[in-house]
Amino acid sequence: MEKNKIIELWLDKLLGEISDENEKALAKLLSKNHKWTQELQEIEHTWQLFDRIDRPEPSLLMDAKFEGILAAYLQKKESKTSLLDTIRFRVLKGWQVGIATLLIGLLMGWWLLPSQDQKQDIKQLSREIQSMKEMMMLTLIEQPKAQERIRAVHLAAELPQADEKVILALITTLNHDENVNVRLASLESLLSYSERAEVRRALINALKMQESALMQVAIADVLVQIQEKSSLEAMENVKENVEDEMVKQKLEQSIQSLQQS
Amino acid sequence: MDQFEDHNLMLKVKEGDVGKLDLLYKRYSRRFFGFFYGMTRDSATSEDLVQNVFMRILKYKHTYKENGDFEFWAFQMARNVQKDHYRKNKRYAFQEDMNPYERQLSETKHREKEMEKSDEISYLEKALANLSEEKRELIELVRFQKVKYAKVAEMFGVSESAIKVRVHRVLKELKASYLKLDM
Repeated sequence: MEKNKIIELWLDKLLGEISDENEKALAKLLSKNHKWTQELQEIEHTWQLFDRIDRPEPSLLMDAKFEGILAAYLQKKESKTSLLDTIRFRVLKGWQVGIATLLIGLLMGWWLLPSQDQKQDIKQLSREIQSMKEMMMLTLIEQPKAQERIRAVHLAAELPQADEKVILALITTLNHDENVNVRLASLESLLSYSERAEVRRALINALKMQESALMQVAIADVLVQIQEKSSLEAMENVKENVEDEMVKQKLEQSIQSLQQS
Repeated sequence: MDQFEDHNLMLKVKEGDVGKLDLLYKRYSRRFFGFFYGMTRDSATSEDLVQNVFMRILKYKHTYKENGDFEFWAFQMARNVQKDHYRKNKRYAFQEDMNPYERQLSETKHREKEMEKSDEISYLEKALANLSEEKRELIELVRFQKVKYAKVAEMFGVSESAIKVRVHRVLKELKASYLKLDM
């Protein structure tokens, strides 16, 4: 019992959470048990060594992802709050389509009517259309219908330059969408942005996460297509652990193909 | 005081002011990341698991009690997320890290860094990685994430003194293990 008491007090001391009274009690107990002093000092040394272990910091992408999830949750919640809100949301969507049509009309008008600032205006309109498409994509990707979500990922592939939010939405869809067709569509769209390092990393990560044989094979194909050699280790790991023979064979072929290239 | 604020924030989240979760994320995401990194040794996986914890918090916010303790509740969730991940991906446990942080270091720079690290620390890291999942989890919570013994004891379903005896045993085991590696 005395031994356990010493341990308890000593561990409190290590965390700096010992009262003066208990510290005195510990000193008193140790004075009667000298053999314990050395053992506890050795343990204290190990305890302090932990402070020197380096740990990496998470990437900024983690915070961005969380913000995206929270924003999507809040948006979904808002859309559910009342019928009035639903109507308002639909009106807003209709308004967006109206504006987009108007902008396209204006764009066509500017094409037909020559002007000195024509090029600048077209650029401006293109930017606005791009941002509208992005907004539409981010709205559609949250829809309950798989068909709508597939439309969203196809829309993402058509954007000439996708921003961080769009890429993140595609990655999240690839990893977490319940529908395999939507996941496949997002994989296809991500292929358009495969020159980006974060997309290539996300693809390797997705290979590890996916449990569907279809997805594993499709991702392996994409990794071979973009010649991502750093995916070899992940492929080996999946190959070793997967039960499906067809997937095993496919991964073996992909590994060989990457090694030979 | 912080714990009290965390509790109040979580109660607001529960009542529907979900935006307040952002503040809890700022306070806890690094600790959860540290916990998951200690368990998986993989940054990308740890980042995903942190998201999973917050998604669960959102999903189960209605179960948070009026007299609850957010740190205890959220770390319990983190432990469950870690256990689910381990069950699903046993094959990936303790893999070498492939995070951007490491990739950014050039091969040479990385090697230099490794050499600078004292042998003692390297052996301790290896000894930690060789511990059983439960023992590593215990050290992670108590030592690295500084969760109070009383809370960890409740998480493990034992008394506070029993948890302290366990920590002592694990520390002794670690000491013996890294000394063996040094030989």
